[in-house]
Amino acid sequence: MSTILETRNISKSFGSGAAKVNAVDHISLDIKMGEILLIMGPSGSGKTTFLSMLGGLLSADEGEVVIDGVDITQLRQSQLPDIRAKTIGFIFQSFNLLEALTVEENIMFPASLLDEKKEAVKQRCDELITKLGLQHRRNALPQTLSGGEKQRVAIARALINQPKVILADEPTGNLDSQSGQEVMMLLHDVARDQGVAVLIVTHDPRVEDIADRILWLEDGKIIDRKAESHQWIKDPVCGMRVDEWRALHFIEYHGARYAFCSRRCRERFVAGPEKYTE
Amino acid sequence: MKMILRWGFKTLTMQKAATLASMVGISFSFLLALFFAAVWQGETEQIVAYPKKMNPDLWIMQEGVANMHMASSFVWDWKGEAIAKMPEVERVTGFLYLNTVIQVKDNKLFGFVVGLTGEANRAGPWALSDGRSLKAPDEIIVPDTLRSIFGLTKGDTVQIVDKDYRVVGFSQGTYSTANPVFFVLKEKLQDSLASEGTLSYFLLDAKPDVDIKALQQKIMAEIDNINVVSQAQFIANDYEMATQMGAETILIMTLICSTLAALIIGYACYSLAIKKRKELAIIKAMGGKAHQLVTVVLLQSISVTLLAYVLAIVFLLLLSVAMPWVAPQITVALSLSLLVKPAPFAFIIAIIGSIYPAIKLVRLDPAIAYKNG
Repeated sequence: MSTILETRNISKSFGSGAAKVNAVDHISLDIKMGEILLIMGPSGSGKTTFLSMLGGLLSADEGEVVIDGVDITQLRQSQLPDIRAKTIGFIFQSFNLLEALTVEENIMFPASLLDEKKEAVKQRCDELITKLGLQHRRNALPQTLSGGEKQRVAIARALINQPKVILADEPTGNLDSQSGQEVMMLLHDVARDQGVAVLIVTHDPRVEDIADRILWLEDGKIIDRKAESHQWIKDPVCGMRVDEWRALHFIEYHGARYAFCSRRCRERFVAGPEKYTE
Repeated sequence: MKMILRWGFKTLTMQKAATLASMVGISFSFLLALFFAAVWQGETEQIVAYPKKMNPDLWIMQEGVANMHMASSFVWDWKGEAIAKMPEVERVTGFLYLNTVIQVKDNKLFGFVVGLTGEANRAGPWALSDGRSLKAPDEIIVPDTLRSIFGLTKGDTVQIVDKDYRVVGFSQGTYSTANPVFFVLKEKLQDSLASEGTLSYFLLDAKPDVDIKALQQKIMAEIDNINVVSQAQFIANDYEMATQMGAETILIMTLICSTLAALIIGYACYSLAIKKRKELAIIKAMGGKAHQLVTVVLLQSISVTLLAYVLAIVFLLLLSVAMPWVAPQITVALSLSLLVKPAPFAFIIAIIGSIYPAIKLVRLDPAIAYKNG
């Protein structure tokens, strides 16, 4: 499989001086066509910043982002919309459908931003509507849809321009387990059947089942790891599920081992362990 | 592009209350400007109502005078008699004229006083709603509208230059705020003016098929110290005088109302853009170009403004129907040009109003699409 998306040493920081935060710190990675890459990490670890940079929504301070052979960091702002429309499909946690438009109009919307023949777009839209089981909701407005239906519409919308990369931000975040499972399988099919590279940013460990590769992002840096069995335990501070064997932050306290999702949780624990161990 | 425009218009219709509130606000700004212009047009037309209604072929007056409004003229009456003897002339009707302050009950108003040379006169009122024509020097015919404004009735007294006149009739079509027209017999007015042997204007009706221009030149050549003006020119002179007096006020009012409209449009577009900030960011993230978003805002602004303009015209029509009952002293004149002329201006206001929201849109960060909520 050939590489469709590549980052080389990209960095992004916010603020300056003592308040400077390295949201993304010299990350390099390759994503191949048809690959499903999962990026996990605690809140504030830089996942969304990284995703925004991959999608050309946020400029990098340094480094390169190469999508389908084009280094988008070298493009002018006015050239980016076309790259986004043609090459990238976006899926958001809160669905982000356009409230005033019907299901069909929402799906066709990204195609309408390009100069493409309406007939071809309509045919692809019909195929997607059928494939995603939205035939009976074609003319419905987003507010009448369930969460699962909304996310299926969002996936169809992301696919309408036949993108080479899909960037999904917490695609199962607002869904119940059954709808979440359906969405995962749809993304899996998209990658396998159409060779689309799917990059998913998530907290949801259920998504790991479909991932080819999982990266852990923390403090703007990335750690590679394989999708395999885990020893899940609960972070005693924030309650988040963490893998005991792979946790970066842990502590021995009164003979017990505690693992944390982030350095911050560990620091809090150290400041007052009795609060979390009783 | 079609789809993004559809989104723009559907978004407008989805926010009915906000869109309607903006539209009504803008339409009231336009209504103010249109109403003021219509009142002014009505007043201006009323100012020339008297000379228009008289409609002679030629007006004869003192040299150096060319209209009635805010003017005074004195011509020896024998000059009128001499003109009347010319073979091309059918009839010459002279009248005395004074623009002055008239005391009606406890109120003082500025008006035109026409002193007629006889009872049933060519220069007299053309329609009476009540009462009779003038028979005695102390009688007066006043505009009908004064009945509803001041409760004037037949037998009441009106004062002109400290002389009393008794109301015997009410004339129609002779009222305007600037110059209501009062009719008296010339004798008493002549006393007040100490102008015996003179009249102010002569209305000349020529015989059929006479060359009016040639007659005008002939009179000017044969009679000294007079001015002879055609009916069209006389009306134009009076109209110009009236318009000049209000042009600046109209311009200032129009500018204030237009600025108000532009501010409301700007605010409406801006609040709409703010409300839909997330969706606009999503569109940008999906590949929407800045010029496409600006076009949407511009068209939203233009449609709201033009609809508001139509609404203002509807309000104005309703108002013009209600005015005779609400404020009979105000004459509202509507014409197609008055209603249509400001439309391109409204279009420009819509564009001005959408500039700031458009700038905000161009600068909108598409990464907002990733923010939840």
